[in-house]
Amino acid sequence: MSSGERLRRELYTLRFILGKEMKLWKRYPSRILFIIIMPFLSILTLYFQGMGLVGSTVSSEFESFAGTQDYLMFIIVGSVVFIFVSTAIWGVGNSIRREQMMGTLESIWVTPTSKLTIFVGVALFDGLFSSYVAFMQLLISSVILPVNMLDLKMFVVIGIAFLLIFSLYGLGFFFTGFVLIYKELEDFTNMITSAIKMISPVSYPLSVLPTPIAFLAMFIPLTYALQAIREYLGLGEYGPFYQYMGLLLLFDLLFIIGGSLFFRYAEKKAKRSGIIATH
Amino acid sequence: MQPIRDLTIKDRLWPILQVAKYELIVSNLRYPLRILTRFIGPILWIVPFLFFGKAVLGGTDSTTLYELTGISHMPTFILVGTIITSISFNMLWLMSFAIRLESYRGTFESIYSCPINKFTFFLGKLVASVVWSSMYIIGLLLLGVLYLDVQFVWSSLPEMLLAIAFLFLSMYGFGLTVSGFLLVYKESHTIIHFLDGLFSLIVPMAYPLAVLPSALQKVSLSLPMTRAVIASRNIIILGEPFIEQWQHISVLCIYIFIVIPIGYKFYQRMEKRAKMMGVLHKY
Repeated sequence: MSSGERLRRELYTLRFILGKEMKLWKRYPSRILFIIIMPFLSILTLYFQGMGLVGSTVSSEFESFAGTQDYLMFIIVGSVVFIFVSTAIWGVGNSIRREQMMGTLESIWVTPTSKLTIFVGVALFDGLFSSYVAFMQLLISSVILPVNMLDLKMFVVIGIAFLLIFSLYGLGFFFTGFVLIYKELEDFTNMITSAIKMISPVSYPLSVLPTPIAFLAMFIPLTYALQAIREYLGLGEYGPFYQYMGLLLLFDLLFIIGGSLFFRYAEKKAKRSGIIATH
Repeated sequence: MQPIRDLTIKDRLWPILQVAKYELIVSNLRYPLRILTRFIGPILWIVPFLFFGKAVLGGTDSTTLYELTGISHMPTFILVGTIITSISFNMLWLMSFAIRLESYRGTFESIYSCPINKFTFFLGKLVASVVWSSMYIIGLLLLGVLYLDVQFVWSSLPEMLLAIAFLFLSMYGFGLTVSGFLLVYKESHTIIHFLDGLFSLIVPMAYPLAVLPSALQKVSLSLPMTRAVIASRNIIILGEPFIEQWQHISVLCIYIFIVIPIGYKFYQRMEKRAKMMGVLHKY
């Protein structure tokens, strides 16, 4: 088969995967509402905490850590970008488990389609869906909270977050492999998502963290995406923008390769030990 | 109908302990990663609030917090809130999701055909929840003593534990009600996650109730976890006697003496409805 024909077939398959994902969301419409509301609830929680501790949305102490007094804008940007992380981990990372729970894993596994195409389809859908949810967060925040996040610059922010996606999908492949071997991973996924949120500068600057934890944050691509975005928006003083972008692309490459290799290993192991379809 | 034989206390306790054993030991040993997540979960839950508090305060004491609550030490304030909310959310998940979880695990039919009533089954889940929650309390108290320099009136600890015991019982009725609802409504995960997120927002875990809009304050005050958080803080941080918390404890008592029977009736009604609709075993 020529490479052109192959590409045409893969794109054809991709179209159906996108359709399948869309059908799933339509089947459970309240879940869409839930996905839109949940990130905003976490922004509100920190907003109320800030109000309870300092009585306003600015803090001079926060400036000494982050280079900006506006902690509310800081956490909204962090939460919006974090949506891409959690969607990638829950979407791609748990796609195998989801199919298993729905009883459709075997049907998908035996189709003459590359597994990579299946994951790229899920990833693409998640990326587009995350962008929509991110936009909704900016909109809701601007309407309800004392802040204006509706700026053309936000398109660049979502663009940078999209760059982050590739490394997240590498992480997603890693999770998928883990699910194949260890099965019930909902609690574990929750834990990893919370841990990533805790050690990266989503809601507070890195300088607040103890040194060993801040060191760990250096190995999470989300850190570089957030530094680049906040540098671009002028929310604090960080290093050169292009340096962060370069590091982000490097992590994209490393995570995609590492994640894919681990997934192949896990798939082989699960097939050999006969646990691929067990719960 | 006459029982086949008279049941002793041991006979009555046995199924409760078996359900608890299954939940605590059998199920967790099958998925060992879950044990790890249960221990780390409460720490991951509290730490971001502490770091954020440090970032906006530059330290641990807040004059705004003191003006609103009479408590200035932010980590102590948050720790008590976290202990109570961890217990509440653990119970909410374990009780409300009890039936649905069995359905996901593929054990629903086996449990449903057991000759025990559902009240006993839920009591087993309550016992499991109490054991897990006790570990949370110990873990978080250790964290507070070793790393956060918490400022507790330690002599009031037994009174705070008494308030927590009231919380356990009051959450039982709450859990029964939600569980009944989830029998008919299929998207149980979404609902519990949503409730979890909503309660995280309106229960004054990391901030005082006074910062919420007044409508949310009213909703929050109708919840057993809010009452337990406020009563526990008053007891263990401010050193107020248990008896002075009668307003909060009486709300918990309403949940115990009124919501448990209503919740159980509601659960039975929902179960009947689910059977008639043929959705009992469905996802």
